[in-house]
Amino acid sequence: MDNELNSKVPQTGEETAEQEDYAVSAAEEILPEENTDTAVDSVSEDIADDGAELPVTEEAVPEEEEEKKERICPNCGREKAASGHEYCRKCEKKLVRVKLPLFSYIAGAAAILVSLFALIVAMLNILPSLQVFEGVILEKGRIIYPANENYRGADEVISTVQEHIGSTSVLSRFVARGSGLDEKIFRTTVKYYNPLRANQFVDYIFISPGASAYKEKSKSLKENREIYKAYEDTYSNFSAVYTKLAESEKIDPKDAENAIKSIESVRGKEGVEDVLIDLFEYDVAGMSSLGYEREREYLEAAVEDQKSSKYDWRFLYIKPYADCLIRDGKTDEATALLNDLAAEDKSAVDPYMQLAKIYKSTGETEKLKNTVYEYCANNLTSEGEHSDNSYTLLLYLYRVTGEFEEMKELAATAESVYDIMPEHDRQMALAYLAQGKYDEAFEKAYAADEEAYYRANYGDSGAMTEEIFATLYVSAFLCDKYGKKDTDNAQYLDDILRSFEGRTFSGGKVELIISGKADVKDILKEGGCDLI
Amino acid sequence: MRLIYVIFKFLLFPGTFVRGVFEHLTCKILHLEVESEGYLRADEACGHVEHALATTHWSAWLMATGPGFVMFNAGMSFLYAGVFGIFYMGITPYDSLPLFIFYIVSIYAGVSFLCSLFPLTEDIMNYFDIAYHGEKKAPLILRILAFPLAIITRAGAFCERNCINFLLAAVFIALHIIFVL
Repeated sequence: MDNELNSKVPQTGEETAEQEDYAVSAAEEILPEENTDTAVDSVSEDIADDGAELPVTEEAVPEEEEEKKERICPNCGREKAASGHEYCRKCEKKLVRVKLPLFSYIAGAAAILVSLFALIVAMLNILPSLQVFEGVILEKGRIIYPANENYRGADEVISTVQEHIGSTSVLSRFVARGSGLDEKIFRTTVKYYNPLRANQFVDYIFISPGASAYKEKSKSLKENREIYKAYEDTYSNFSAVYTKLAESEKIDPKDAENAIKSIESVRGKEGVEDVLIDLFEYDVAGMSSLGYEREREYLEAAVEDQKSSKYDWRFLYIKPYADCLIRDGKTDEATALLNDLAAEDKSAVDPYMQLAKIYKSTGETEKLKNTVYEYCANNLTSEGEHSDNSYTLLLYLYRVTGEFEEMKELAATAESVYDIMPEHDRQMALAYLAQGKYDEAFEKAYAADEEAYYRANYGDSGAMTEEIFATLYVSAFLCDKYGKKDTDNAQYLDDILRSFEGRTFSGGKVELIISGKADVKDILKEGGCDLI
Repeated sequence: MRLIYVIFKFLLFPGTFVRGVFEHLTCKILHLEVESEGYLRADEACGHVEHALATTHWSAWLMATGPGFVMFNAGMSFLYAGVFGIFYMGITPYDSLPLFIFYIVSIYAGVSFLCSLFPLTEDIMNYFDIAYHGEKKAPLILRILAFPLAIITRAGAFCERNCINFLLAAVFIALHIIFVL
């Protein structure tokens, strides 16, 4: 094949020699003797008298001379090639007329038609796929929540495309969400929230046509189910005691100690996770105000027991444990832990917020700013807007740097972009508190509380935070004491103050403000209110 | 190397065959002599047709890049349809077996078409010889405009002859499996 094709390509001197060898051998094989002699003559000039082969160069075989040589038609191997042509006249006619087989025509046409159809399918899927692609990039960059949003957003794009082409059309079957996309949504939900919470959303996430069969095979779902079962199995041993205690308005320390004893009694039982025992004990200690030392003791036990646990329960205790480290002044240890957490999920606001507080407490303002800006840069929305959590962090930054006017402006922008975000209202309330505008502060704190309540009613179990209660209490207290009380919700001041009476808040800052031992402005500048 | 080349060409036979068809069709359009009718052969010409070299720069250009142009567009359509469906939309056999098969076949067809994108080295070399070194060179503007694609085609033909394109296709699929799934 090489010889045949090379014979058609303009040759170098060396290749010409090869070609002529080929011609000689072909001539010897096929042609009658007298013809062979003629063919051999044409190459014999290249052979020296002593039989050694001379180096063949372009000078040795000038092109004009070569053209004059008689060549054998490479197709039939019998006739001489026509002058200036590759083949003999007969073969040339025959070869030009070589027809494409019918099957080849059909195959070629089918390839074109099917590829056109594939092109249409690709075009229909391009928008949702780009959305998923963006999610994949974000997930690889460990920016989990926006990745999750992108995956979920792809579903909306699919619906829009289906609406445009008609949901009953044949083409709409080619624009469908598959279980693989469900899996991506679930995976990022687990990472952003936690396996226990993600388990509650399984039926809302796996909605593809083959989801029910896929769920049985999915490895990540299986692992998640195991974790959830381990949690349920442990909790079921003392659920009655724990629930009773959690529902009590005021917890007697004796009841709390008894509850801890009954929780402790199941330790070592089959199917019971030691880490969870520690954490439920920590919860009881927190609920019944048994003191910070006890809380820390349980958290440290959880950290220790995690080492021997089959499952990763860190998501349950890492935030309070980091708080403990900060409170104990172990800022290096806390910073390392929080940096690890931040690297795992660059969209989780808690580690960044805690890091910001550490840098504030150590007076490292540049690091504080960099932490906040890094988070904001990583969490821009597709429209280039800040995420809701970015606004929270920026508001915190403005507060601790004393830029209250900028803070209020930013909070107003955040409110216009994101509906029902209690944290933005709370931050606005803190800005008013810091400026001594207690009536406005109370109104904003009240709005934050209402929004949190609304969110909690719609399933956001983490919306009603201690920080919101503390802000409302402090605002209500200062408004009642120093404000004009002429705002819309001032009538509820007494009820609110009564509901918080005797309640303690972790961190002790609220108590200091209420007792008049500390000035709210100083505490806010320290960033202390977030530690409540 | 020849054995590997032939094995891959046969494994990716849809592209190999269709490439041969379009090359043959181009020869017919250009009235070039075609020596063999078989497209799937156990030699270096697998997926190509043996033909006389074009004599003008325009026909040499068409011979070198025309079939590749069709193969590229068809291959990309197949590949995009399949990759979007499997890797991004997440279609699994549990969702719809026919759809899953369609997307898998699309990826296969796409890879197979894209692995038969380039001409024989002789064809692109013929274009260079005629358009850039021959007596009747192509006009300067055409030579400049065609140069990037001609170089890519030449490099691609080299890659195809040395089986590098098959390796690239395998890497492409592997990266998608690792990265997206």
